[in-house]
Amino acid sequence: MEAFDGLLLVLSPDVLPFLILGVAVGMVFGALPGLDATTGIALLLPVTYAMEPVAALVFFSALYVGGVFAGSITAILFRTPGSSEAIMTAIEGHQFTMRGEARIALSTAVYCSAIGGLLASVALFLITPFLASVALKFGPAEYFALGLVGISCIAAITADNPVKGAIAALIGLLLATVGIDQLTGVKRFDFQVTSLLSGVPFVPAIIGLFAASEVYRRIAVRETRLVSEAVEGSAERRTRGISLIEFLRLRWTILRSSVIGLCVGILPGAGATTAAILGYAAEVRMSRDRSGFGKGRIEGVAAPESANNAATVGAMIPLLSLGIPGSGTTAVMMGAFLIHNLQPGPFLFLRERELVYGLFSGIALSNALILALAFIFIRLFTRLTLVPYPVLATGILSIAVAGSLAYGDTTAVMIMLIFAVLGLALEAGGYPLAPVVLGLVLGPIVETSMRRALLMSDFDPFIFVESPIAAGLILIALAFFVGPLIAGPLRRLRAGRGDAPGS
Amino acid sequence: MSLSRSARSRFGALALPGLTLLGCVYLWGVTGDFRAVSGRYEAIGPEFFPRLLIGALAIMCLVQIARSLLRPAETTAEEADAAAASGSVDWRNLVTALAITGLYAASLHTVGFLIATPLFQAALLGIVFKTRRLVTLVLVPLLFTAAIAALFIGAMNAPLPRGRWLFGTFSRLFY
Amino acid sequence: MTGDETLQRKTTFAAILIAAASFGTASAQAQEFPCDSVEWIVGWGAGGGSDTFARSIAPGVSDALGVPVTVINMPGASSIVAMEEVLGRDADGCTLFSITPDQLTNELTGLTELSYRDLDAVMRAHVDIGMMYGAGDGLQSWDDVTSASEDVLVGGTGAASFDEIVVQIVMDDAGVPYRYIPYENASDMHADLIGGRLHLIYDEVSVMNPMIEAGQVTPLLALADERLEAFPDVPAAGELDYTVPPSLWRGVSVAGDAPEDVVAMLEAAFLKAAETEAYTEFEEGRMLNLYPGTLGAADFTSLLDREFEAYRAVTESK
Repeated sequence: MEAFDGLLLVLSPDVLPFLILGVAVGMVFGALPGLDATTGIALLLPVTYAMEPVAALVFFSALYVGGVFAGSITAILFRTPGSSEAIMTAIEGHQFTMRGEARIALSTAVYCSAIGGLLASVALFLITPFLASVALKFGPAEYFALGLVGISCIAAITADNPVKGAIAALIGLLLATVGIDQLTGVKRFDFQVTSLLSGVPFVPAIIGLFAASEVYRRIAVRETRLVSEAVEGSAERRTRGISLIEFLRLRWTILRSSVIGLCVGILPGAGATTAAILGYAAEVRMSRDRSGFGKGRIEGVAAPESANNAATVGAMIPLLSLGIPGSGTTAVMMGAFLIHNLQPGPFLFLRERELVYGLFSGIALSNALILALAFIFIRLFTRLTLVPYPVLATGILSIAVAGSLAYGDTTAVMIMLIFAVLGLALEAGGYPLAPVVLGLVLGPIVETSMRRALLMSDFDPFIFVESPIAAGLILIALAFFVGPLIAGPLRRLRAGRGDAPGS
Repeated sequence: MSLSRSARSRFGALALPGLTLLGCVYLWGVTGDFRAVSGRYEAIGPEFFPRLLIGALAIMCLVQIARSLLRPAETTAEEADAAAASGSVDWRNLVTALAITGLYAASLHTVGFLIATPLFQAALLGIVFKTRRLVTLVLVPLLFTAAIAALFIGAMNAPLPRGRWLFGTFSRLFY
Repeated sequence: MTGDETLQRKTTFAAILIAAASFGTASAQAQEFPCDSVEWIVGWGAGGGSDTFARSIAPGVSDALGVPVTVINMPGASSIVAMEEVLGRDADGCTLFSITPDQLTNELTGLTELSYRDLDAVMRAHVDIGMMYGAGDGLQSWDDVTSASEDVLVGGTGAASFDEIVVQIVMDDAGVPYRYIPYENASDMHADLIGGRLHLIYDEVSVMNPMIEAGQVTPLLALADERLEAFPDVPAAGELDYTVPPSLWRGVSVAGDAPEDVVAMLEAAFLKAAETEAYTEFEEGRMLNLYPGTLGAADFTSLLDREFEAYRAVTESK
């Protein structure tokens, strides 16, 4: 009944326009590299002072949902993730564009994002009211174990070359130690640069690593056509979306990734980017035939896109039920609540049920709205592929610079450039980029949680195995680490016994 | 100006891990300066985790180098894929592009966003992409700068640099 | 207890000052404000305490000055990035900078070479009272804390930070063995307190009030001279004869050596804006009015000097 009231509230003329506007604005922010939903929410916060709280909160949730989806548009078309959540989609989905099959990847991203988000919305209605007790069991020891699981997933992503994957991941983890140490206040690797005191600025770093480095790579190899000439003709012929049969084949992928995304989203500290990476890694792991990943497998688009939108919704669960934001974006969302003098958490549930259920409905509806609005935006951004690459490259680099400037000063631009060169060097040497970002995101979680847990236990390491949740997660992480090491030689052994003479 | 394929394939196998190894030695030295003021962190201090990572990174680099030297056939095959996919490298063009961007970033503080940006864009189009059409060289930078300025300054109040002296006065005419 | 008295006197003084200022603005406005627009650089992210403060008072300031006031967030490095930007600009008083005690502690802990003396104080707006909190079945009263025999785990935001210094002052006076657990993110700390992994935390009332009302946390000690009207059951540090640590306040400043008349006009505009209904409602909603905190430029400057010395005494005693 309350859920129904919430839906009516969202469909009222005071709120509905803001819902649609939110998804549209979110898509613009999400699709433009260097801007993401978090930036959009943070920057538009002041605009909503005068708005009704429900309208403002629905607007921001819709913006978040739209933004997380739209990152995939530019990721697929230009291998430039519009926002960090689309990192895996950029790697896998852009291969389709190179083959002239961009629309297949794009339509898959649209449907999977909407379905992932809608599935998670069901969970939002069902479990938010009951979650309080579970999430509060997560302390530093549990977060440390969770971070380890995240890092162990790198082994799955880089199964074909674990050494290079490990080097990339360690570079990311090491970069994450830059800045003021959270537990002692000591400056680490700041090299007298003030901007580095609060750590490597994440947004300029990923703009450099993914967006700018791709432009420079194309400049270096004189690849000044977005779609290679050979397939441009076929691009005309094959501009069709994914077929129903192809899509139905993805049902387990979508369901699995949505559940992974939802779980990762719910657990504070991880967020939609990690969810996309984990969804992708799980897909690779579950797949019987792992060849072709990284070269344009449709599962590689479906998995991260279902997972990141599910995580977006999932991240709202701890925020609304406990008042604890699960990601950077929800942390900014919390600011939207506070501006309207609403403190998210159990108290809000008690007092403002209509508002909370209105918000739930708004989140579910904005995922459905992706279906309606996405194709308009895709047409808009597909046109961009027809723009001559020099013009496009100029635009991307300019936005990359302006986007970095929005996060600080000219030092941020220099950091962006350094990461562009790093990305270029790693790619040239055949090193994967995703582990660098994973390390950068998970590093602080792993390090500070581990040290905080030890500080609490007075340096008694048993704190990591006392809690069943932490112990269980650590076991999973160990299995992920050791798994590929055993599986590889085992498979080679089996293969060697089977068809050694043939090869 | 292009690098031979075998040299390129050795970049990822030997040069990059080698350089990273040197970086590790330097960074290990830097960690010597991380000293916690308070005694409560004695067991695991601020230098513990970075050193753990630097150590692991150095080991992985050594493994990579050893692999490349011991089993050159296997690794060069790997690298050849990457090298073949990208073709030959135009170093001059790359360095020019990076230098132009670096110069742009360095000049922002003095010249300001509104003047530096179209110049940067025109330089990129003209020098790096060798565009000769005057319409593109003039119109694209003006349109792009206007659009980006409208988005970042107009809609979002982002602190884009105004520049100093006369440049600052010029920027203040707009924002 | 003498601190209490001086404070009383100061508040009356501040009240007079505000009254004088609201008279004064009429004449100040007659004199044209020299900047076309004012940019207010906040060194913290959108949605935080400093940001919401700036955004709630800025419209009033803009009305009083007759020029637009734009709030710009430039987060990073405990607002040192923003401070460098402000000090890099012309000292014409057209750029405002939010200050909190972090400007004092950043300097003391060696995070930056910049000093709070490089800034000209304009006005302090409010004091955000700090309290110590327990939760659930853990420590239920301050007596429980003082009778603890094992190490009390006390959470606070940041290491070698304002919070750590405050916790150090309180716990040393209470004579209880404790371990300070630093957090970057206050929400993680709240979750650890409610989850029973921390025994005690320090935080400001504006953040904690909804959790207090929801019964999730229990305030155990108010870091004030005497009991707060809003929390009559919570003992105050002053009545236990503890050293009352400095409170968190929020104020505004400009780059040093700005023209005196501009600073005076800004001060008047801010004091007037602090009286507007929009701003007082904001203070009320966040419980920022528990303690009279508004100070003019002169009083604020001397307070900065006093608190700087107080912090220095604590950090040097380590």
